[in-house]
Amino acid sequence: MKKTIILLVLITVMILPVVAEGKAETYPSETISIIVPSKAGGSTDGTARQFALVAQKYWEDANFIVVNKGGSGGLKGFDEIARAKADGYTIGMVFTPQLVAHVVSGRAHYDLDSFHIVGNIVEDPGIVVVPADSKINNLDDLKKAAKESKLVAAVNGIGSDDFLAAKDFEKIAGVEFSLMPTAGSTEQKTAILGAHVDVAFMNLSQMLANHRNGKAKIITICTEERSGIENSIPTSKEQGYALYMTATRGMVFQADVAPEIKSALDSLLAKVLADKDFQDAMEKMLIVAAPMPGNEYRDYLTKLQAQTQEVYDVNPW
Amino acid sequence: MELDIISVLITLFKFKNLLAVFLGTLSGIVVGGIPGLTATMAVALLIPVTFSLSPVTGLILMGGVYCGAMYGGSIPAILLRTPGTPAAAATALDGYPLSQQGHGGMALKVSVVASFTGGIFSAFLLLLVAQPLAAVSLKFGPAEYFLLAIMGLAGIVSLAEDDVIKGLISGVFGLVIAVVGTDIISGQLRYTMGIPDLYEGVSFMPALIGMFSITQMLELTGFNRIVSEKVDLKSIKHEKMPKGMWKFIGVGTLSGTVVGVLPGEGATIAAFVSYNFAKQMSKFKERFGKGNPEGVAAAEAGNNGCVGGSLIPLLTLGIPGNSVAAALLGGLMIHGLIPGPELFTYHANITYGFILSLFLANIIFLAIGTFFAPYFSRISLTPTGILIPAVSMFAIVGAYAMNNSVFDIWLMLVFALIGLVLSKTGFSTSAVVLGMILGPIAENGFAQALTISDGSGIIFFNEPIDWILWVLILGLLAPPFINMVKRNIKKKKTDLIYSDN
Amino acid sequence: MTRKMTDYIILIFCVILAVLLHRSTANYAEISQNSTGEYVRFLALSLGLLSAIQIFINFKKNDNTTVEFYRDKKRFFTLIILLVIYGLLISFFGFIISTALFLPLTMYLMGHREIKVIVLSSGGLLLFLQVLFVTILQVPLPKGIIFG
Repeated sequence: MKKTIILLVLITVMILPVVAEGKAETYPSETISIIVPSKAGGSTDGTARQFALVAQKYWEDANFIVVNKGGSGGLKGFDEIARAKADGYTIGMVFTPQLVAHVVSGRAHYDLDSFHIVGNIVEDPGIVVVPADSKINNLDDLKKAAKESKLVAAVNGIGSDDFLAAKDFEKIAGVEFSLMPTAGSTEQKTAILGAHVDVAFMNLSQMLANHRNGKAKIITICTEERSGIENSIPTSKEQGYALYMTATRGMVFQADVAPEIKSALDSLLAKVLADKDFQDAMEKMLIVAAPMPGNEYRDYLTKLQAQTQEVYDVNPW
Repeated sequence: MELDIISVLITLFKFKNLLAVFLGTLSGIVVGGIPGLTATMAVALLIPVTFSLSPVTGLILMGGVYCGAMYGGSIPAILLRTPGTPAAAATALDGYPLSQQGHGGMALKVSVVASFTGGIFSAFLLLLVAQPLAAVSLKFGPAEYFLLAIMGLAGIVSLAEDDVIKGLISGVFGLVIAVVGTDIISGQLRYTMGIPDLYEGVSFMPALIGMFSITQMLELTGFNRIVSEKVDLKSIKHEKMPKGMWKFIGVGTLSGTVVGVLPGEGATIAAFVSYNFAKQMSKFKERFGKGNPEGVAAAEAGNNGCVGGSLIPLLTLGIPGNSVAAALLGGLMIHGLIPGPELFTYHANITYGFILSLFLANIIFLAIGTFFAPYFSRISLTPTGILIPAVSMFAIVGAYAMNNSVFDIWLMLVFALIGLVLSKTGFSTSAVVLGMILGPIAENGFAQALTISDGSGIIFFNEPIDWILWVLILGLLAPPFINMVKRNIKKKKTDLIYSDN
Repeated sequence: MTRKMTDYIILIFCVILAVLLHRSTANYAEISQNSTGEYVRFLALSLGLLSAIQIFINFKKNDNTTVEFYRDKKRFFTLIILLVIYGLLISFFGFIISTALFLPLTMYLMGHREIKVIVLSSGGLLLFLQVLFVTILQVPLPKGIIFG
């Protein structure tokens, strides 16, 4: 027993320095965790890691780590960000429309007021894509084909942006798809490239490369204006369909963080977004930078939540 | 830019690139060997770093990590029944019993040679026939994935040949556990009890570590060492690789590469499928699961065959077959390398430099593995008083680190107890594991296929590939059943003789 | 406990699980009744049926072998208790402190008595983990409620 006590004392001495270290005064004195509500290796993850790398340039003493909390359409991660201690050392990435969709479906333990919204970073417009040798070339064709026979449409999970876009199109065109939900965009991609489904609702960054080399055909981009990244794809608006869907990825943290930390992080994000290295990296990853300051992004999210609510009321999932 | 093989080789053999392969492979072995650290994490961490390196060097580094990690997972699987990666679970089935019998060093040698062969062969396919193989992989739709899952599940029958019914119950139990989570078709939450950590299903790695590793640590409380006292150190260290392994390495390599090419399948399934094929071919079937090096050979060749295989759809079509490949996709993109034909024409020098570096990575882990095998094998002589706490700690931190979730630590402990009860009562924990891996693929494939066919089951018989798969399934199922019937007849005969007396 | 007893307990549990599982599919959304609902019902049926067959087999067979869950009762239960305490400690004190307590204590209670070896190996393992996970790979270790 005596030996055990000596042992415990020894160990306490050993670990005390570890515990005591780093309780300093000025922000940021500790490691800042960036919670990414998706798995390592995805594009949200890539954006966050690039942010961390570039942010280091501006805050030389700070240390950022990325913490992946993947799964359940981001819900776990969003919850975690909202729940974390409001000390400025846990910030996080969010993506739409999942962020608001979870609120609408009543599964979230947060709402938009739980967050201080730093701003938006990038966007990824929705697209409608068909196999390369499909007879469908535009939204009119799609509508016609869907009226003739029931088409199979692949969407990435229920309640995702793809799902909402597909539901939107059904309403606008007065058709009904047989929706085939997949676990991840990789399955959608395989289904389109292998022509196992008739059409898929996806995001531009996921299919652009395959569209460019002729392995798949993007028939519309679900925005009002053409994309800067690929100018040749017609928008839904041009084709006379009010089918709009864009995934955005922004940064938030807890609402009750001290005001001076809020403004410090706000200006950090602004600096990173304006940084040449960051912009280059985003462009290479086929991600469209869409800087939007906090207040604007909050308005966007509020509006999006109201729209999502409308879809949910008609068609709950 | 045309492909200039000489300049590719010159680039590859530059000092910094050789250093990159070496460091990549070495760190791959380390992250692969520690449960909870994955090649995916390491690659994701490297992506922003490689931005400042030249594309070839960056990719070589990441490729090394991938190759090294796939091999590294087998080391703790063999020595401690603690798979460093999910894919090494099948390796533990025979590797660990070998360690217990004092053949740990030999098992490690078999594993490194098998891994090397699988890795090299799949790299050759990637180099030579990537395009046609990618085209074949696209033929697989949801219906075919369902059939593949069934083929994998056929393994349950042969995993538990001693007691087929109990094996099947275990397998179905695993499938039932896999049902927890979000219903893919309706988005409804099933059996999650309001716990967000279960929304995406029961996490596989913590459950696996619990059932394999902690269960084993509890078992070891009754022993002083992993190996029985009689075995001496010398024989553990210097035992040669047994003969007759090549047939099984070959089977594993082939099936591993094929499964690896199919996006969405993974190295874990490849390893189990290879293991199953090997068992059906072996002359010593009854030794499988009790320490047959043939099982280690097939499983390891299988999961390393996946590495080159999974890069085929990635590089040609931009379809990542597993999470490491998905992270690698990010690594390609950051250098502006967009998967597709351009990668093999315009960027040929970079792409082929990367592919050729995989050969080097395989050679490096072969050297490291062979060199260290005798030293690693000493672990089985460590007193359990030190070993149990150390492995428990790695298991706990590994369970946590997969999803950064404390819930998963408890999940792991619960599965440790389930594993203990099942293995002590004649059920099969490996069948549970197999059910858990294949459950989501089976369910999603089944549900998606029926969505496509509007509810008609004919979709499972439409394509020629479907028929090939059905034949393979029957081929895997028939022998165990015939054996079972034979054994029953034999038993009845002996019973008769006894009753006559 | 005899093998027969443990089998009955597990198998009856499986039968109950199968029944509950089958009944639960009635609550599935309309849209998944013919796909995932069908699949889960099939699983429930298989589980129930197989368990029933096994119960029947056991009924006929006389297997009186006893099941031994452990060889060394004291060490076995000590380890289980220590693991649970370790899990709880992690939630409160974070990973480093809990591990610094768990490792030496478990080594000692598992019967290792050389204090020097215990201290050195515990310290070594902790250092290795801290360097590899936190410093090199930046994988966050569990944080506690009290210490972070």
